[in-house]
Amino acid sequence: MGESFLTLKNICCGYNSVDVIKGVSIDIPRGAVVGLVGPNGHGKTTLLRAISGLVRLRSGSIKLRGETISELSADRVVARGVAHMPQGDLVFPQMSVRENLLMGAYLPAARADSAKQLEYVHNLFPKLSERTEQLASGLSGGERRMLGIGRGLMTKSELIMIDEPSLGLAPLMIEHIYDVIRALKAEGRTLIVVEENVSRLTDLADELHLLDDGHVVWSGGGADLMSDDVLMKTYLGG
Amino acid sequence: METVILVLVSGLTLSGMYALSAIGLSLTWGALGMLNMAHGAFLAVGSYVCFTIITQLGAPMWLAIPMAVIISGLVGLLVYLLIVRQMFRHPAFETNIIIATIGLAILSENTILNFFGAYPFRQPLVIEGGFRLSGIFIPYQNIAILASSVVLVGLVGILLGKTRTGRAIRATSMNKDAALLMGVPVGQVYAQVMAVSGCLAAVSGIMLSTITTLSPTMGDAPMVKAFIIVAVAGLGNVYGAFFIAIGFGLLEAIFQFTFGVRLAFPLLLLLVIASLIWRPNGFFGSATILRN
Repeated sequence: MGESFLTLKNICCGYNSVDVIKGVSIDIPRGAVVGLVGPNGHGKTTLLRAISGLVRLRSGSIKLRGETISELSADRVVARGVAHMPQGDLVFPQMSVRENLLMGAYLPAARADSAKQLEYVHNLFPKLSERTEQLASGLSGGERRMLGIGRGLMTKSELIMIDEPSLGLAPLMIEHIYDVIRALKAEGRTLIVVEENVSRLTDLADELHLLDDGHVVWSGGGADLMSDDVLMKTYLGG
Repeated sequence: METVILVLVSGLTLSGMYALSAIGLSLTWGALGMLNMAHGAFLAVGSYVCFTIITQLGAPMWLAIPMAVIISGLVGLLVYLLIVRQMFRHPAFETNIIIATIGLAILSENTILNFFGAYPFRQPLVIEGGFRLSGIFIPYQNIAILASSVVLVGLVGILLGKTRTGRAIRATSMNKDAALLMGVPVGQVYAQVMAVSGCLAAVSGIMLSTITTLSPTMGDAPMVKAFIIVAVAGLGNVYGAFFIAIGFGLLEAIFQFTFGVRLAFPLLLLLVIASLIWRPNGFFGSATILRN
C-alpha cells in the first residue's frame, strides 16, 4: 500500500449540542479501500460528512496529502479531490441525467475533461447513457444510485466516499454497483465505503473500522471481523 | 374585438411587470428559502435611483436605466452581506428574515420619504406615441414594457438553463448540500441571486413608475401580487412564476373590465384562495425547500 493519504486525528463533531463523533483517528494509505461498519446512528455517515466539510469539526484535524482540509468549506474540499456520494443520493430532481452529471464537472479542473469523464461514466453505467435527457426525479432507485455515483465520479476525485451503496436496492443492482466499486479499486482509487452489510466488504476492503457511539471500537481485516462472533453479535446483529 | 385587444394590452403589460418582480422573489425563495419582504422596497429604490440619475445628473435614458438596475443589484448584494448572511445559519432564519426585511422595507420607505417627500413625481421616461389596432390606440410605452419583460425573462431563462452560473443557482435551490459536494460555492450563489433579484425588481419598478407615478410605497402592492404569483406557481419555481404572472395579469385585466377596479383584486384573491386549496404546493411547486 502507498503513502499516507488521508489522516483523521482525534476528530470530534456533531449537530447542535449533540456530539456524534467523539475522538476518531484513522490513517488511510493512498489506493486503500476502507470500510466503515457498525450499527445505525453511531456516526458512520457523520464521519463522511466531516471529511467532506459538510459538518465542522469541534476538535481534531483532517489532513489530505499532508494538507489540513478540516478548516475548508465543502466546496473547497471537493476542489482538493474528495468526492462524497451521500446516502439518499441527493441527485438534483429537476435536472436531466446529463445536467446532473455535468454538475459533477462544475469545477474548472473537472470541466476541462467533462466529455471524456462523461464517456467514462457512461461506460461504467450504460443505463445512464440511455436516460440522458430524462429528469432525475423520474429515475428508479437503482438508476438514482448510479447517477449519484456517476456524478461523484465526474469530479475526477482521487478520494471517493460512498455512503451505503447497497441500501434499498435489488440484489442484481447491488452486484452492479459493487462491480463498479471493484473497478474503481482496480484503478487505484482510494475509497471509503460505509456499509450496513459487512459481508459485502470482507473481500473488497483492505481495512474495516467498526464505529460504535462515535468511537472506532475495532479495526482490522474483513475475515477477522466475520470470524469474531462476539464482535458480530455485539455490534452487527450477526 | 376592441374589448379583447384592450384587455390583452392592459393585461399583458401588467403581466410583464409582475413576471419580473415575481421571478426575483421566486429566485430568492428557491435558493435561500427566504421570503424577502423588502422586495417592494427594491422596486421603489430602483425607480427613485433612475429618477434621480435622470433629473439630477441629466443622464439619458439608455444610461440611467442600466445604472439604476446595477445600483439596485448592489443594494440586493449589500442586503445579503449585511443581513441575510448573518442570519442564515440560525434555525429561526425563515422567521427572522421576514421581520428583518419588513424592517428594511420600512427604513427604505421612510428614507425615500425624507429625501423626496410624498409628491407623486412622474418618471421622466416616456415613449411618446402609439399605433391603432382595430380602432384601439396602443401606446408604444406598453409595448416597450411588454417587450422588455419578455427579453429579460428570456435572459433569466437562458441564465438559469444554459449557463454554469444558472446551473449552480438551480442546483443550490434543489439541494444545498449536493451543490456544495459538486464544488458550488453556495455563499457566492446566494449573493448572485440577491443581486439578480435586486436588478429585476428595479426594472419592474421603473416600468411601473412609467405608467403610474413614483411614491415611497409604490412597491408594496406589486410585491403582494408577486408573492401571490410565486405561491400559486409553487414556491421557488421560476418558470412557473412566469406563466402564472402572465395568467394573473390577464385575469386582473379581465376582472377589472368585467367587475370594475375595486372588485377585481378581491375577486382575484378568492380565485387564488381556491387554487391554493386545490393545489397547496402551487401549480408547478415541489413540496419543500431544503435549507440546512
